[in-house]
Amino acid sequence: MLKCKQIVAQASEYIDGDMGLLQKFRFQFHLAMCVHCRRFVKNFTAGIEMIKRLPYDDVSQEQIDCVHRRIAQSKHSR
Amino acid sequence: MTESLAQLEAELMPGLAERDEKSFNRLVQTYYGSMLGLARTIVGEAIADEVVQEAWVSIYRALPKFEGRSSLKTWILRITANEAKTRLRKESRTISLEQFDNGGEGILANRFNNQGAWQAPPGAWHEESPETLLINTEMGDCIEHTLHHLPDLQQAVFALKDLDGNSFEAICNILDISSSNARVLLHRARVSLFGKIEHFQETGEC
Ligand SMILES: [Zn+2]
Repeated sequence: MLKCKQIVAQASEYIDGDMGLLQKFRFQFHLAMCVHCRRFVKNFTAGIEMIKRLPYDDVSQEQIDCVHRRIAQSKHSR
Repeated sequence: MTESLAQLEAELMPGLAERDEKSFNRLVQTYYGSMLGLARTIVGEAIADEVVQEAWVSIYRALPKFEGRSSLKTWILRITANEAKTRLRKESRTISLEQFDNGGEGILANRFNNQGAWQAPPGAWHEESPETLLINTEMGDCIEHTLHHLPDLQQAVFALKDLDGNSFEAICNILDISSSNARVLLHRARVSLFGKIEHFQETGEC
């Protein structure tokens, strides 16, 4: 059986759906037997899902204008 | 990449090839945020905006030569990453390279006994769904702070994958790293951030 340590090491592959059938079976078998790892995977997944929701800042008109100024300048400087 | 982005790129391409201003504006609006998120991880907050501006000049020049071998977004982010790395070199800084010698459990390594079983198992969280977790803005700030203190490449891979939703294939292309490295870096970053969230859940402090 996999060790708890290995469950932690493989947790990203598991939640990203990056595992082969056999590896996934062994992973899930451990989870079925181990309450700590079940909790770990649950919390780990919830934590990542939460972070994924952190928004990127919106771009401001000033930033866009600045891009245009930079491009105009670069044309002159060539 | 999502279907709607692919569609948008297909719509913009003809205009962009002729450097049509409207199409270019749409492009800037669409990808500025992703570029800034990436640039921050490599050069830091203070000059990230400048790097993105510089990247747009390069993108504008190179647009007629874009061959469509990757998505436009991947191509744009790759130019941004290269611009950021160039900037680092100019300031005699380099991206910190990491050794991958210890196991994949990262900062949680000391939580196991010699047999590899939990010694200090994870506790139950008060709130477990992502929606309720996010209510706490202090935790949001704490995560951001932690993220910006991770090694550069870990930050970059994490931002590209979990914050910006790029595929591993795109990430390897953008950062010039192997797919196995990208996976290790992502997992490391996630484990560190998880450790912090766990700490916050237990103590209410960052
Ligand atoms: Zn276990």
